Amino acid sequence: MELDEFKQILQSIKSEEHFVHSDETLQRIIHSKTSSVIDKIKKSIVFEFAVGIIFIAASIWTWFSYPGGYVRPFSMLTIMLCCYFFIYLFNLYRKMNTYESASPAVREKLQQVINILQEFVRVYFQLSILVLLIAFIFGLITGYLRVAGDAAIIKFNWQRALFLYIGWFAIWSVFTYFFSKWYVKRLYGNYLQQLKGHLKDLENG
Amino acid sequence: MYSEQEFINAVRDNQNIVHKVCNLYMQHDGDKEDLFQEILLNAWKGIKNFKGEAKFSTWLYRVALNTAITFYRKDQRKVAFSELNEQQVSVAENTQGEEDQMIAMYKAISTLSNIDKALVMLYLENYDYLEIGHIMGITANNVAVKMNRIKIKLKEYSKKYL
Repeated sequence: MELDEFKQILQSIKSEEHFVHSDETLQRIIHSKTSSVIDKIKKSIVFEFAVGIIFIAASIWTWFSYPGGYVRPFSMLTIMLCCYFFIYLFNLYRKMNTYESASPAVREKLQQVINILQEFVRVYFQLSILVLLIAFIFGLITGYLRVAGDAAIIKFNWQRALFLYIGWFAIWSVFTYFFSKWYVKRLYGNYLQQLKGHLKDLENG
Repeated sequence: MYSEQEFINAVRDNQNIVHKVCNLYMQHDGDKEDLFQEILLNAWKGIKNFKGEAKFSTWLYRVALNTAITFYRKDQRKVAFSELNEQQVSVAENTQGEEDQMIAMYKAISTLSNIDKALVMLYLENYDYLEIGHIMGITANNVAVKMNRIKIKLKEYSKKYL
């Protein structure tokens, strides 16, 4: 059978199709919660905002608790980095709100969702690295302050301690890197590939 | 600007469009319901940007296809041909041979990619290539090339399912 023949037959039976949802059902649906991928990413961004606020609160606490020369610049750096990410995340969130209410052509929509996913993955990695960096410096400073401030420790092998600390941190960094990569791929990797496939399909003449 | 009641009235009159898209892209009733809900929610969110430059039905098609093609499910279920909804065919008073051919065509359409399914759906709804191009974001020429390929593909595939 040819598609045009199929079309003709379908058109002759078209009027017999009836799908009716009541107004109440339609009203209930438009007030229900969405489960779109954009919405999931928006929730993740809200979570990252919350984590950033915890970091800022911890930095403020550290600022007042350790008035020593090393701690305050570190607290300031943490707050500044968090603020930078807040601006970045806020812009991404605002962009998603705009995309969510827009109804462009299919090709444009695909491109928008792909862009958002790629940007989110990039932010996710940058945040993971930032957390690692902050944890590294924080561990270094608190470790130094603890040893330097303890009069009972007379002889301390700084070289060995630093070597162990960096080694342990390197292992942790590699683990975090691969875990983040696996986690993001598990969440959105296959979906992203699927969308790219659709876009390629659409763009191929 | 649509009020909530005006939007519901417009959707009620055009809900066949949403059901058709759900039937085309989803096989399981639960998935169809989820997609129906998602399409309606997206339409409701986007209605404030609808300025009436196209017909409401055309706009709803665009929202429905956008949602269906980018629909995210954690567990991507595979479609089994045996689960294809063939009741759409039985409503017609067709001969047995014709009915079989139509079922075969439905099965052939279900094997197409998501993009090709959208093109076929709009073609079956009598949209011309220019309108299809506007909805899909490609040129009318591109639509024509794709439709020719799809027609050949469907003719071959439908023979397989007879």
